[in-house]
Amino acid sequence: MRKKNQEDTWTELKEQPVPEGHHLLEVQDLKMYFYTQDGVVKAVNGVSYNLDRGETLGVVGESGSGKSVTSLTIMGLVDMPPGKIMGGDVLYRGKSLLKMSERDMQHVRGNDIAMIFQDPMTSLNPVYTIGRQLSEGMRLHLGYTKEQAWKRSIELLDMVGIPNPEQRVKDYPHEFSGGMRQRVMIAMALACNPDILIADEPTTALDVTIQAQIIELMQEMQQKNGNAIIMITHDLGVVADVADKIMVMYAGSPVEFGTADEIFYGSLHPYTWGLTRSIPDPVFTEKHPLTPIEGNPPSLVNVPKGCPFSPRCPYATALCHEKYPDLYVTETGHYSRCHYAGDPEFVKKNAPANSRTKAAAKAAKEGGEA
Amino acid sequence: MAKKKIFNEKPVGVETPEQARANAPKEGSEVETTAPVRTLWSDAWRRLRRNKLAIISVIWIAIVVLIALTADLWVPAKLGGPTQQLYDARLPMSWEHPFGTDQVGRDVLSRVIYGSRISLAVGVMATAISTVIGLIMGALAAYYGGLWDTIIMRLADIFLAFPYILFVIVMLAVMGSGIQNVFIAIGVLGWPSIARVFRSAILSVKSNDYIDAARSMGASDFRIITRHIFPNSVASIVVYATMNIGGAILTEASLSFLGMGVVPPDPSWGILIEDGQKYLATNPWLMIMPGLAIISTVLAFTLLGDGLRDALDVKMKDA
Amino acid sequence: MEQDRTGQKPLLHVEHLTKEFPVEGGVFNRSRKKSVHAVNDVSFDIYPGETFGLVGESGCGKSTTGRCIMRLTTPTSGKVVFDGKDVSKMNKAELKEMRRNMQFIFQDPYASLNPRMTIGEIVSEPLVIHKVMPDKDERMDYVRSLLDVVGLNPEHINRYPHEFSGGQRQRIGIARAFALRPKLIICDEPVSALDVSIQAQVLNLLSDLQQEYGTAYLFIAHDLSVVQHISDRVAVMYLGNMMEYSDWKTLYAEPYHPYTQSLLSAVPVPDPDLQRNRKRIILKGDPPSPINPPSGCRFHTRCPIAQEICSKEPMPELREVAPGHFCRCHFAAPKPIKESSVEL
Repeated sequence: MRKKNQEDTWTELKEQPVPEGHHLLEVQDLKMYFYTQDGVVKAVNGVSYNLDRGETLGVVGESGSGKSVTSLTIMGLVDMPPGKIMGGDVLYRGKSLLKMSERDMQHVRGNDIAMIFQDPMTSLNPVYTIGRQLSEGMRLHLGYTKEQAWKRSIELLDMVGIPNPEQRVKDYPHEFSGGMRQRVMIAMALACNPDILIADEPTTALDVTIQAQIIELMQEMQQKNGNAIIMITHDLGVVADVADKIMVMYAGSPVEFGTADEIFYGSLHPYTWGLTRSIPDPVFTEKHPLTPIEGNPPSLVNVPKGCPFSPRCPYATALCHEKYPDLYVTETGHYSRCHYAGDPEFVKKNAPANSRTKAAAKAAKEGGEA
Repeated sequence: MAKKKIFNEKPVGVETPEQARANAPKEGSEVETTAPVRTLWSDAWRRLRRNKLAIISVIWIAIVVLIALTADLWVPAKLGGPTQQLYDARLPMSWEHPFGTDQVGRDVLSRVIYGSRISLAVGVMATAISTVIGLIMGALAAYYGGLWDTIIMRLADIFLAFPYILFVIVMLAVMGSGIQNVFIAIGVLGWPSIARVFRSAILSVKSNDYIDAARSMGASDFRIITRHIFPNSVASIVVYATMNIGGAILTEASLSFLGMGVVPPDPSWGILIEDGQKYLATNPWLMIMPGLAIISTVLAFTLLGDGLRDALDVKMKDA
Repeated sequence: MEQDRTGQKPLLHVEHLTKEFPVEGGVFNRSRKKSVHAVNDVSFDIYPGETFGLVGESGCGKSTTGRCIMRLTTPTSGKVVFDGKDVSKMNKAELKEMRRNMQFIFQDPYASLNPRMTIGEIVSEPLVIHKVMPDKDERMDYVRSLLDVVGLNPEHINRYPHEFSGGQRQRIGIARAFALRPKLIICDEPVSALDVSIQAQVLNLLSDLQQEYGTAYLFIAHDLSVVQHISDRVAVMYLGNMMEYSDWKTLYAEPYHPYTQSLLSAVPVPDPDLQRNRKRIILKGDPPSPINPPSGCRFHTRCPIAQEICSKEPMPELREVAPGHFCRCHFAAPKPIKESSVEL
């Protein structure tokens, strides 16, 4: 019924060209606060980025950094109240998602922007078969008949690597393992061929060997469909070889943004360094303590004065505790919210070593010897 | 390791620089440094206060209980207090007799007030009896499981399979009427639902790691039940018992209406309704007033139970 | 830390430990009873003050092994000897005494702390149960000092668990486990539920505490990179069986078993160049169900180098492929990890 009404008023957004001067998705200084009993929670505080088709954006941060809420806000899935948009905009193909009616948003969700969640156990409805749950979106958004949707469900399951899809499509979620359920979630998300796939910690609940499979699958699907991916994670390692751009979030705000190369080989923010250092190095010969980021993420109700990261930053100075840092932006658009990002000496001295700096040091050493 | 030695040496902090740094930023980074110290019960009370219906219910229940307890002090004898002075029969509502008088000339307001004593007593006593039996049975079934569980829960099923009110009537027919027997009949027959609720609450608490944690520390069964299982499953019982009080009041009213409950001239609300329904056409207040008393009180207990359920749910904390 | 352990008595000795869970076929087909072979003939020793790492995917029996040792569940067969005493033959009093010296740290920092108890009550509970330190003030002073040791503010002793973050809650769990200064702590995935940045904090705290108090750990995890940083010796489990077992250095430098090799290669590295150039072995499919394990070598259905023999012959024996290095594979061959990751 809904479908019928929409046909005359709704133009398929994803079939429209991206307007001149716009990106597929533009998030502009987005601010979303929760008004709660305990005070104002600044969950999303000035997030900006652009995303084009075929690109992958990694959003990295600890729990409570606002990384998940940002994408829920984009999807219009935050309850208002207690949530409230305090500024900024989200443009999808040049159209504001924030100004869209709930009815139009329902069409965007699943059809243009799809989402998969961390816990594949709870995001599938246990009382319906996988086939029925897969069909639902296609019948709603694409106007498929029951038979068409069923046939396509089998194709989708086959595509995401579920063996014996003709049989499995009739199974219930509890008959699938965790990794298989996450595959089903990906199939479901891709059913309507969305422009953007938002994956919120898609591999955190899975075993390491399954994690690798799921990441590989998402990349494969991206190559096939050309969709954009927003990958939300707390582990920089997970996005290392998949992300084109990375946004590092802390206390509701992005603290660093750049291409993957810039983040991994030319990071300008101590928080990013901390995240990189805290991942255990798989190849080592001597035991040494790990290098965590000390302390805990701040409460979003009570964000520390000055730079929010200053209480946990090993390099913090009096300035950091007093003044909120400005953005330091390079020519390439790589930015960092640190008072000392523009100081090459500081960065060189404190940034963690990586394969490129090691190779350079080795080359220099060998060059010196020769 | 000797017992003494372990605890006589003062544990020393690990003085690595990393530790020192970890200790330093504790202030600003604490999750809730600004909030006052809160306990779960004070949190529950805070949430309950936000629920207007629940608060109205609490106030109403408090008023009814207060009136019932203090009736002897201020309901004047001439209005049909303890001495039951008689007036003209079936007087309409007036300032002197706000609820009118009944077929033999007793003041209806006074009878409703005295009736609240019996109705509330039945509600509380019967629920207390059901709760005690239900708690024991539910705890045995859930904690020991196996055969205990099977026997107790099948017994509960059998109880629940009979129409409740008929069961109570049969029991009263065997034991005879009278207020104590009403307590016992309603109370004893009410245990299966409480046992069920408590059993499932325990089972869900039991699956938590902190129960295993306590076991792995060597805690006794008694300690695990009293310190870990009970405090975490009691919330559901508080909720259920609150709602059950309303249910028991209703059951008593039905019984009295059928002439099986409290024996006249003791004025329970059910008896007042039964008395009044004969004059429904001519003197409707005789039935409406006690009816309103029952409805408002039962509703208050139900709404309070509902509010308590939301307030005591730890997961609802930040909702 | 390759110490010579000849003559040293193990703190914990596990021998042929097997645990089967019956699976009932429902009301109408009781006769077709099956069982899950959760743990199958697992043997190892833990020496005082060392850390033994147990790694595997979910459902491989690593947690069940820990729970059998603690007697939270009773093993089907096999022997667990703790401090010279057979755990399965202990009476109630002995079991209680054993639990003084063996403690448990749980994976889920939210489910493992009683939400209706204050931090002080939680951390002091082992002291109360074992009636050490009967004086309440003394006990609370001790708890405050423990909180300080694990990096929490001692003034928060009267707060409730829900006021703390996941990492802080795990510190509370650690303080509780250390309250009695046990000889062995079974850490069941203590950092899996935490953010990477907080994982490192907790791992460092655990190794600092070990150095300070000489506690031995059985460290259970699904992530090899986490285990290697804390363990002296590491065992890899798959479908209830121990597949490889060695000291940490050789296991990571020269893994013999294809499963270990794939686990190692699956660990994500925060360095795109390395990550892209690494030869990654991505296993196909899911681990099979332990109710119906594959014939022959349990791993053959997912093994990248499986041959006919792997499904036909019975499960290969755990054999010593190098001194102190055991592996359960027909084709066990060392695969230095440096070759598979590109050193630039």
